[in-house]
Amino acid sequence: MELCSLECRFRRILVWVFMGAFLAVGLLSAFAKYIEVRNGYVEKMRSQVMVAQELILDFIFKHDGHVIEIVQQCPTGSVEEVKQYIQQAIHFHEMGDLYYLLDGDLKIVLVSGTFTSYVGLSRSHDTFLQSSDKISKVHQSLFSNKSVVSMQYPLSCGMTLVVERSMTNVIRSMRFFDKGRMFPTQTLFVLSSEGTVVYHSNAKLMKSRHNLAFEMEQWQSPIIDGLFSYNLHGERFFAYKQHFSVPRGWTIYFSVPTSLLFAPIKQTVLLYLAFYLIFVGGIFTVLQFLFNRYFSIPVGRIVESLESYDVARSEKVVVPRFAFGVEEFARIIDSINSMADEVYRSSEQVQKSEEQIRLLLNSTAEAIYGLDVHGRCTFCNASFLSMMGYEKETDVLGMEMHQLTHHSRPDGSPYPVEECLAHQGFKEGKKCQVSDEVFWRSDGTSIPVEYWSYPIHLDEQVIGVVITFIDITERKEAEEKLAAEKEQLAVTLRSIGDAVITTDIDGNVLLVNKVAEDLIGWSQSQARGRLLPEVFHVIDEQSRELLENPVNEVLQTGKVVELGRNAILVSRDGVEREIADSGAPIRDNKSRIVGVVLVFRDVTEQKRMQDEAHRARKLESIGVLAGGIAHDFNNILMAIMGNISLVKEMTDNEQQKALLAAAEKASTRATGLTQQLLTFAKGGQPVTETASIAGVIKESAGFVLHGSNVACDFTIPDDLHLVSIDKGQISQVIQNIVLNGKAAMPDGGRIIISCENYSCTKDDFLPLDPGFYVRILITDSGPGIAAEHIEKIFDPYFTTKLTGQGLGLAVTRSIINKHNGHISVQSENGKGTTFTLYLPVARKQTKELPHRQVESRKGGGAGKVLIMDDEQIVLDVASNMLTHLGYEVLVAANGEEMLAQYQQAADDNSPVSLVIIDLTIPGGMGGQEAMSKLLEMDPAARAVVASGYSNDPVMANYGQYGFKGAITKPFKVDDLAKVIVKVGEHE
Amino acid sequence: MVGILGSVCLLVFLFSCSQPPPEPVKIGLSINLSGRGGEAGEHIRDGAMLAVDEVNKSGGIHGRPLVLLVRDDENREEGVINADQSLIDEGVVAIIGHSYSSNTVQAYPLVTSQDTLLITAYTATNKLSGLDDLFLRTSVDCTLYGKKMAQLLDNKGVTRLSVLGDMTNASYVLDYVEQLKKNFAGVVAEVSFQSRENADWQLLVNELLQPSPQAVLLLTEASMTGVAVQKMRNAGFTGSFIGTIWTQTPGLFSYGGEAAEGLSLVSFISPENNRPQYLLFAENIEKKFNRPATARSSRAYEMIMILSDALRRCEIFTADELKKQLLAKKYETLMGEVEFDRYGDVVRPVYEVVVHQGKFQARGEI
Repeated sequence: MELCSLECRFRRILVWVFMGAFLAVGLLSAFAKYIEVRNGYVEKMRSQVMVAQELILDFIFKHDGHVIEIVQQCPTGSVEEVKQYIQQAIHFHEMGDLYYLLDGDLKIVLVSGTFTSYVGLSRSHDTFLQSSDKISKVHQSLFSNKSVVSMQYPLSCGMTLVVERSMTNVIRSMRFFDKGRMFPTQTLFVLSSEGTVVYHSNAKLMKSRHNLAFEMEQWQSPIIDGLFSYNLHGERFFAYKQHFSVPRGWTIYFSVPTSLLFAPIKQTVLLYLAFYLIFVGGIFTVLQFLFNRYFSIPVGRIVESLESYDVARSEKVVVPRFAFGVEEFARIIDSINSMADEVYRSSEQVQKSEEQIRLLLNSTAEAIYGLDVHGRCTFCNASFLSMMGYEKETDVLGMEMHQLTHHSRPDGSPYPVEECLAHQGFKEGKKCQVSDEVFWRSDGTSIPVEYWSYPIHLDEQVIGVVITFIDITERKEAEEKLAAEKEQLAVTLRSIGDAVITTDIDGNVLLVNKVAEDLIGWSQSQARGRLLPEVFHVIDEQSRELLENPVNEVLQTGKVVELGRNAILVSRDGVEREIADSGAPIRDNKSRIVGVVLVFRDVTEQKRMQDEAHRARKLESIGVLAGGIAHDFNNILMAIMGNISLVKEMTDNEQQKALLAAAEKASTRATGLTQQLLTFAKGGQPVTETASIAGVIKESAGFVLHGSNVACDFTIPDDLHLVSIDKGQISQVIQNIVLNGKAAMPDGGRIIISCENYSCTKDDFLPLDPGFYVRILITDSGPGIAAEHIEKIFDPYFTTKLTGQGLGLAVTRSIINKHNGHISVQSENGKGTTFTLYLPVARKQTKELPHRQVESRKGGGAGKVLIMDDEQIVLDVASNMLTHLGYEVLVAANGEEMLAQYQQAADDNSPVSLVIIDLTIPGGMGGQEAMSKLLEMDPAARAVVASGYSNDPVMANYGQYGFKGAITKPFKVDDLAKVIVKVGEHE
Repeated sequence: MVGILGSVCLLVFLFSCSQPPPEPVKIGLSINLSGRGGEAGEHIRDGAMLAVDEVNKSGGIHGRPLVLLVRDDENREEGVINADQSLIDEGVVAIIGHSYSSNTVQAYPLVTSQDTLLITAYTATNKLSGLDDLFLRTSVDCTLYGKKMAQLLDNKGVTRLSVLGDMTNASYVLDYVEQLKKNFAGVVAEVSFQSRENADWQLLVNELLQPSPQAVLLLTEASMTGVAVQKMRNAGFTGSFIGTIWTQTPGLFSYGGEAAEGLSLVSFISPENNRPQYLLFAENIEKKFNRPATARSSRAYEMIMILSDALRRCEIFTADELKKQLLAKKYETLMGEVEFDRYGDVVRPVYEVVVHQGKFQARGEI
C-alpha cells in the first residue's frame, strides 16, 4: 500500500466513506421516488384509459341500440318491403358512415348514399360476412375508401344489415378527452389484433391503418403494475395498456415519454444529494479540524523528533514534551524517552557482546563465515582469512561467497550455485555436513574441506547461514592411503584361488571374493549384510543334514576350525560341490574377535580323481588276482588242450576225433576268456599282426548278436586294406560297441557296419597322422545318446546302464589309441548312434595268408628242444607234443635249470636246437631274464617265448628281446608245430 | 474536495444521457394506403417493414440502423407531393414509390431534382424508361407487358378485346394499351373510368360488352377488378378476363368471388415460388403481420434487400453513389436474379398467372 501522511490517510478514508454513503443515499432516494412516481402515474393512466375506452366504445356502438331496435321491428315481407323499411328507419349524419343490405346469398340489394351502382354485387367471399362476428377489423370501405369498421345485424327475414362506421369520426368523439389531457406529451391509441391503428390522435395513422405494433420495438418488456416500456423511432416511452372485451383483440394504450417520469425523480434526487453534500461537507470540515488539532499535529511532532534523533549522540531524552494538553500524548512521549534510554543501554551491551563474539570467533581454529539469504558474506573470522588467503574481513564482506570460494568442484568442473549444498541452509532451512568438496583460495589453489552449514533463524524465518569449515588435506591423504590399502586387500582377496567369506561377529556377511561368489552363487552386493547360513549352505554328503554354521564354532572357540569331510556346499542355483574349508577368527589390534573369515575350496574334482585312483588301484588288485587265476587256468587249459590235440593226432576214429574237436573248441573258448582276463589284468600292448579286419568284425558282431532280436548288416569292400591289429583286442572293441548298440535297442533293431579305405590329411582335423586308414562305421538305430552324456561315454566308469561297469568304451578307446587309431561318436537324440573307428593300414600289404595247415606229423621233427615252465602239467603235455612231433625233449622248471641244461647239452655236443621259455616264472628267473642270460651264453641260441599273456610287450615284440618266435598258452600241437616251423623258416 | 468531486461525477453519471445512438440511414416508402386500392398498399408496407427489421437485426448499414419512413400518398397528386417532400425533408437517401405509375410520374421531377433516388417495384410506365436519371425500378415496363399480353391474347385466340382502364393510374393504363396495340393485331375497344369517383358500373359494362369482345382486359386494381368481373358476368359475358400485376392481391378473391375464376393475368411475380428465401419470407410475414405473402409484399421486401445491399457498399450516402452501387452487381433475391441496365431498368421473366379455385396459379413463362 502506498505510504502517506496520517492526515492524508484519514482524509482519504473519510472521502471514501462519504462517497459510499452519498451513492447509497442517491440510489435509495432515486428508487423510492421512482416507486412513488410510478405508482402515481399508473393510477392516473389507468383512470384515463378507462375513460378513453368508454368513449371509443360509445362511439363505435353509438347507433347500435338504434339499429338493433330497427332490426327487431323489421318486417318479414318481401325484399322491397324490407328495403323500404330500412331506408325510412335509418338515418346517419356523420361523414363516412353508411349501410347496405344483403340478401340471403350475400348480394347487395340496397346501399345507402350514392353507391347504388354496387347493387347486385356479391359479397359472399368476404371473410367477415362469412363469419358470425358482429364487428369486423378496421378495413378500407369498398364504397367510401375510408377506414371503417363494419357491424353486421342479421334480420329475421334472412337478410343482413351491414353498418360501416368511419374510424376517422372517432377523433371528434375524443376531442373532449384530448382537451382534458393530463400530460401534455401523452398519447392514447388503440391497436387491432393485427397491430394496425384503430384510433390514434394522429389521423394519418388511422387513415393508412398503420401497423404501429410492429414499430413498437421491445414492447413486450416486463409489465410491472400494468406499466411497461417500449421504443418508437428511437424514443422511449412508458405505457399502460388494457384489452377490450369487445371488439375482440383490440387494445388501448396510454403512453408517455419516459422522460416525463424521470424528471421528478431526477429533481428529487438532486435535491437530496445537494442537501447531503452540504451536510457532509460540514461534518467533513469539523472532523478534519479536530483530527488535525488533537491527533495529526502531535503525532507529526513526535515523528519529527524521532526522525531527528541521533543514536550516536547517546541522548536519553529524544522527544520534547509536546503534549497539547492531551494526557495520552504526554505518556507516549515519556514512554518513548524511557524506551530510548533502554535502547541506548541495550545497544552498549550488544556492542560488548559483539566484541566478545568476535574475539571468540577469531580464537577458534575452524574457519567460520556467514551468508545472508542472497549468499553474500556477512562476517568471517581470522581462521577463514588465513585459510583462504585474504588479508582483511572487508575483502570478502558483501561478496557472493559461492562465486568467490566455491565456484568449482574438486575436478575443476563448474559448480552451479543452485546445487551448492552450503546454500541449503537459507534456501531450504536445512543444515548439512559436507566433506568431499573443496574451497578455492584467493591465490587460485584449492583446499579440501569439511564444512557444516547451519541456517540462522529469526522469528521462525531463515535470514542466512553460518558455515564452519576445516582444512582436511591431511585427513584426505590418510583416507586415500587407507582406501588404497583396502583396495589392495580387496584385489588380493579377489585374486586368491580359494573362496573367502568374511562376516562380522553376528554372522552377517561382509565380504565375498570372486571364487566364493562363483561357488555360493551370490554376488558380493547380494550377499553383503545377510546372515552366513543364508548364502553359505553346507550339508553332510551322507546324511544330507545341514552342518553347523562354522561362524558359531569359531566365535565360541576363538580358534581355527575346519569342516569335517564330506561337506557339500549347495550353491544358490542348487549345484552341489564338495568343499574343504576352514574358519578362523578375525581379530583387531587388541586381539578382540571382530569377525570370522571362512576359506574354502571346491574339492569335487580332486575327490573324484582320488576316487578314480582308488578304484583303479582296486581294479589293479582285481587284475592281479584275475591275472593269477588266468595264468594258472591257462596252464591247466594248456594241459587239457595239449592232450586233446595229441589224442586227436593219435586216433583215427572219426567219432572220437569229432568229440575231441568239440572238447578242443570248448577249451579254445575258455582260452579266449582267459585271454580277456589277462588283457584286462595286464592292459598291455596289442600283439599286432597284419590282418583283414573283415573277419574280425563279422565274427565279433555275430558273436554278440547271436540269438538276439537285433540284425546286423555289413558293407565291406573286397579291396579293403589290411590292418596291423591285435585281433583279440579289436574283437573286444567290436564286441563292446555292438553290445552297446544291442543294449540300446531292447525291442530289436538293426546295426549297420561298413568299412572303407580312408586317406587322412591335415585338413580332416582328426587326431591322426596323415596316411592311409581303414574307417569302420558302426551305426545302430537306437534312441541315441543324450547330449549331456556324449562327452562322457569314453570316461572310465561312466555308464547309464544299471548293470554296467562303465569300462567297455573306456577299454575300447584305450585299445584303439594303442593301435594308433582314433574313435569318435556321433549321435542325435532319436536318430541312433554311429561309432567311427580309424585303424592304420599295415605297412606291408601282404595278403594274409590262409591258415597254412602245418602238418603236425608224428615224428616229422628233428633236434633237441628244451622247454622251460614252472608248471609240471605244462611240461608234461608240451613234452608229449614235442615227442609226438619227433623232437628230443629236455625240460626245466625255471631259468637257472634251463641255462644249466642248455649248457650241459652244449657241453655234451648235443646242443639244444630250440628253447621254449615260459615268460612268467613265479619266484624264479622269468623268461625275459633267462633269455638274456641264454643269449649271453650262446648268442646264436634260438628260443620261443611262451606265455598266457598274449598282450605282454615281450609277446608282442618278442624280436626285441632276442626270441625267434612267440606262442600263446595254451597251445595245441598244431600251434607248436607252426611256431617251430616258423622259427626254422626264419633261420 | 475529493468527495465533492466524486459526488458530482456520480450525479453526472446517473443523469447524463447514454452515448448517442449511431446516425440512422433513412429511406422513404411513399405509397397509396388510403386512396382507392389503399388496402393493397398495406402489403407493400408490411414487406418493407419486415425487410428493414431483418436488415437491422443483421447489423444495419455498417452499424447504423436503417430507418423506413412510411408516407401515404393517398393516391392523389397533392398527397404524392406532400408525402415525398416530407420524406426529402427528413433527409432520406432514397424513396421507394409509388404504387401507381401515375403517382410515380408525378413524383419523379420532385424527387430526382432534389438529389434523392426514386426507386419502385410497382411502376410500369414507359415514360421513365431508358433515361439515365435517378429513377430505378425492379418491375418490368409496359413495353414488355404489351408484348407479352399480345402474345397471351394470341395464344388464347382473341381477336376482339375490350379494355377497362382506371384513369387514376392513367400513365400506366395509356402506356399499357399503347404497347399492347403495337403488338396485338386484333380489335381493341377502350373504356375508361376514375376509381376515385363513384363509377356507374352499368354504363361501363354496357360499353365494354358492346363490341362483343372475346376477352376483357382489366387495367384496374383488385377491388375494382372484382366489381368489374362480377358486373360483367351478371350481364352475361362469358368470354375471358385478362388482368395485370396490379390485380395480383388477395383482395381480388374477396371482391370478385366466383366471377374471378379463370381470370388470367400477366405478371413478373410467379405465385409458385419455392426458393428457400421466399418460403422463409412468407413464413415471417404470416407470423409478424397475420397476413399471407403477396406479390406486393414480396416485391417490397426484395426492393429493401437490394437497397440495403447497395447501401452497405456506399462510401457516402448520396443518390448518385447509391445508384452507382445499385448498378454495380447482380442480385440474387427471393424472386430470382435481378440486374439493372445502365438506365436503372430491369428485364425479368413474365408469367401467365391464372385464378383457380380462389388462388393464383402459374401457367408458365410467356
